[in-house]
Amino acid sequence: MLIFRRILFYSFLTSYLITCPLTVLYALGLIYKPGTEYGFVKTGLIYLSTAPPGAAIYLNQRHYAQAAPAMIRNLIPNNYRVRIEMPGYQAWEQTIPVKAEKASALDFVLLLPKEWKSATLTEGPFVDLRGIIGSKNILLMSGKHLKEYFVYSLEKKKIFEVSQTSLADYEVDDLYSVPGSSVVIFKLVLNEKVSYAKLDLSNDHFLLTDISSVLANGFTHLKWSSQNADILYCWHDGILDKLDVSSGTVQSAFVKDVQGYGANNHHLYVLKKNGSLIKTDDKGNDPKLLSRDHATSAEIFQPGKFYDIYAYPPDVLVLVGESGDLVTNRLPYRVVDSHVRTFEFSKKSKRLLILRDSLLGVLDFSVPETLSDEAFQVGSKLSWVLKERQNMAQAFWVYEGSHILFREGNKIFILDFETYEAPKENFVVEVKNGSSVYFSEDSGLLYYLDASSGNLLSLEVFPKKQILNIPFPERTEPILREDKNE
Amino acid sequence: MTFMYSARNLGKKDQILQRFFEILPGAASWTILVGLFWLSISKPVTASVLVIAFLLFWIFRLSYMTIFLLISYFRLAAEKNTDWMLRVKSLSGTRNVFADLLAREGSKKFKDIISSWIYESELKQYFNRGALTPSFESLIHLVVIPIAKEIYEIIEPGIQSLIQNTFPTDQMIVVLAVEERATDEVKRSAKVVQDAFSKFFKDFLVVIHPHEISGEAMVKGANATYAARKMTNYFKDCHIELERVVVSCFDADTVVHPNYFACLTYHYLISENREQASFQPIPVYNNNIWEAHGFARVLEMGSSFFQLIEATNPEKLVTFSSHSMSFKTLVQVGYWSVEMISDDSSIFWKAFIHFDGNYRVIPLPVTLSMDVVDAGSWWKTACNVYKQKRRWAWGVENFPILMRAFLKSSQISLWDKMKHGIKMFESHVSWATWAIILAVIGWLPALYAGREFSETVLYYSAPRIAGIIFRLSTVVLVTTIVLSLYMLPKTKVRFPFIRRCLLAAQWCLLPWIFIFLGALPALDAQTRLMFGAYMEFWVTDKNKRRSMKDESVAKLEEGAGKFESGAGGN
Repeated sequence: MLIFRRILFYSFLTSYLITCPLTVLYALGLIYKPGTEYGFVKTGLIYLSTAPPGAAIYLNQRHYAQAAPAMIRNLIPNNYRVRIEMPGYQAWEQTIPVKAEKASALDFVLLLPKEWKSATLTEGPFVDLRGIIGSKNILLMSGKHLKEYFVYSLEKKKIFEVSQTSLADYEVDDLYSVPGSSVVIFKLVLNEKVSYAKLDLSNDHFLLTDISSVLANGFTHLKWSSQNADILYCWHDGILDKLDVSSGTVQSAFVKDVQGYGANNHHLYVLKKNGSLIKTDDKGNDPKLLSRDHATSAEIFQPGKFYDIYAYPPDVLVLVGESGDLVTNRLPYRVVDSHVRTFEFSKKSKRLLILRDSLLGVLDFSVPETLSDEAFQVGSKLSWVLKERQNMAQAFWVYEGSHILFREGNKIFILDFETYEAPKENFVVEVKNGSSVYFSEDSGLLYYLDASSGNLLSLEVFPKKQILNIPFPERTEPILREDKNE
Repeated sequence: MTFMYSARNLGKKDQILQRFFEILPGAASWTILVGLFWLSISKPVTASVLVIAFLLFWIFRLSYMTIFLLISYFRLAAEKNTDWMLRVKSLSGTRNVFADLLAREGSKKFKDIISSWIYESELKQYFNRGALTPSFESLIHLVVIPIAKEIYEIIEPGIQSLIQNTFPTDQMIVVLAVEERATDEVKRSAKVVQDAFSKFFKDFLVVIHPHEISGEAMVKGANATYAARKMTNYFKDCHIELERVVVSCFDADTVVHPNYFACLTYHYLISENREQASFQPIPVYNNNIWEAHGFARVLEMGSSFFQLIEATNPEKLVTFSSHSMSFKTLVQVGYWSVEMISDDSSIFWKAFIHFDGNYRVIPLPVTLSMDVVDAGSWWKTACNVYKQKRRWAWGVENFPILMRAFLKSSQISLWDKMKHGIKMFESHVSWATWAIILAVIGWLPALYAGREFSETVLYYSAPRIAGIIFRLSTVVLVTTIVLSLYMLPKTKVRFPFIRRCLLAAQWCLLPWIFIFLGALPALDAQTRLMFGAYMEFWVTDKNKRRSMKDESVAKLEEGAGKFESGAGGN
């Protein structure tokens, strides 16, 4: 037994001493190259994951045995032409650079169908729509009066009238909503009489409440936290009022000398006229001074102009001025000087999508480590991915921040951002003239009004249910692709 | 070598050495865990490479151990039907020495062939030595059973198993070593057991261990030692030479195999330098296996497997739990430690140092069964199991004493010092770290991957390699499950198929069990030793989920008030 044990022990030890370094080398991407130029060669890999999964992969025109998602290993550093094909979908083709010991990963390759298929959800005709992000409902308009406003429930797949009350004949003058909130507030006008109504879409029974009494003082800006729509914050003439809709109480001049404000996650952010930035809880308690650098504030904020404040976890603040200038709490602070129409933050990729009339830009908050050696600190990086376009009105992050869906006039395009090349755009669909669209990342569907009939239609941008989870821990930061957007 | 096997009353130099070696295992375990954690976050590439190297080492070691587990199991199975008493009689000349071989001649059973082959080779060695063997009839088996809070239901099955042994019980003396601090019920139970079973043995004694004897800690070894000292006087009084006595120290719940004493006697008689050896059976935890909680069952099954593997390596084998040895040797080495919790392993090290490394453990291919920890609710049981495993892991207290002894000894070979020192250190450190590395820290490089690491080939390769290794480990797991089913007792239970399936499924709890009831208690014990927070003995709850028989209650009542302290007997 002793001899047997020793033989076995030394056999295992020898096997381990051989296997271990070979496995480590393999894991690091080193392979043995036979032939005249034999020796260990540093290799890289390409990782591809597609939606829908199961697509065929061709590497330099040679069919790769495994379908996507796939990891192609042992690639000698070089540029590789990769083509992905799937019946019914447009071929995806790109040149992917492979570097030694590095992985070139495309986690979110979205295969676009050869023909976009849409489905009619409800018949109109409608003139416009608005997605209520916090409630899985879409507000549909067939005219200007409140009685011509409808709610389409995405869950129940049914349409409901907004109002059968005395407010039904009022004309909708303005409409306020907050991302993530299931509440919409209407400013209604009838014979110069102004009323306000709160539509709560959080319950099965949509509730329209007249809240004119609490908003009697009037306002220029109205906001509330997506978590608590009972507390409204109104700004007028540098004064912030706090209104409790449930009790009907108004706390006038809740904060004075206010240049801008925002409400997020039970917190109130206030930019004072002296340039200080304060964060409190939604009751105004527990104040924290976020910035007291008045000199910097004077440089980055336009005096006398109102700023909307948006907070994104964990620590990103975006401030948008009334003249369309965009400021963040990361260097270089003042990012865009004017004409920002809309923006959307991707928590996943830590990137802000910025839309101007003719420009579409991406502000990247994930500070690239490769730039950390630079003499000047880099806090965020802005890249204009589309330039000299006409009438760009809406833009959405699609498929975990890998693609951008945007509306230019009446046309919807999708921009492939998951690429090592310049982003490619594809036409998706034409929508009703002057109408908005709504994209839901939860369902992967685009909701729009048909160009000719005005019916509400949905279109599958990516097949949400079919996406396979990648067998790796979820990446928290996007992969850096050098200057692809320049 | 004369060496005081103790951590107390040391000189200044010894104190420093003692503290250094007390700190070493805990410091090593924490350095490995914290170091890997730090590397996973700050140097993920290095951490991933280390984790891959560790995973490979783990799967190689696991496969290696599984081979020996299978060998050990087959050895155990091969001797299942061996008539050990026939072999004992053969050695003593009362039967033909080849009687056992003749009985199996012609048998084509693989088990019989293996058993006969081993017996034949042992006989060859025995005859080549030409040594004189004492007659088995001259031997006396002393069974010491320390009792702290075990009542009749716990003790009685063990005594019954002694009676049912194939070895003549009139050559056995049983001593119930009862703590003075034990409850009256426990003391009464001991007396009831004595009254009920003394007629079956040469003698049956109850020895009360006085509370708070100077120099003793509240440990099981102190109780057993007190009883053994009493028995030394007893043997002198009865004119029984100590050479004739083989002592077995059993836990109160130990149920021995019917062949245990015959097998022990055979191995005692046939072994060279029999007085410089301990005899280690395979402990299994079958007494209440069907009633115990799943996680406790899996854990104890794991302990049995560990002992099976250890049994294949007598060169490095150390006594564990219930075991046997020459009583003369026990007296020579100064009995069991009266201040250490790990009395079962420390007695081996005491003897090993006393005989300058010329002491060994001989594995016995026979089982003895104990109770799986069961304290009622799963939470209480888990707490009990945790404390029990921490107590086992407290065996690390031997490391500093052993190292001091090794440094002082010039007689023990450097090879033996290295062999045993490294093994003890490595086994305790791996006990505290492996499960945590496998289940938690090994995944951290990928989970906390920054951009730089997540763009490397290694980031994508590491999970794939880990996946392959874990898939390979399922082969070992399946082998273990199959063996665990084979090792179950043959007692009849309701829904046997379903219960066996459930038992197999419970092995899925292994990762959690190994962390919370394996690595953490070991880390706890090592950390306590590192900081000098020394532990005292804590008796595990081992309830029998059955009510005391009416007859037993009557006996207990009958025994009440009749208890006499001190050595008794008939």
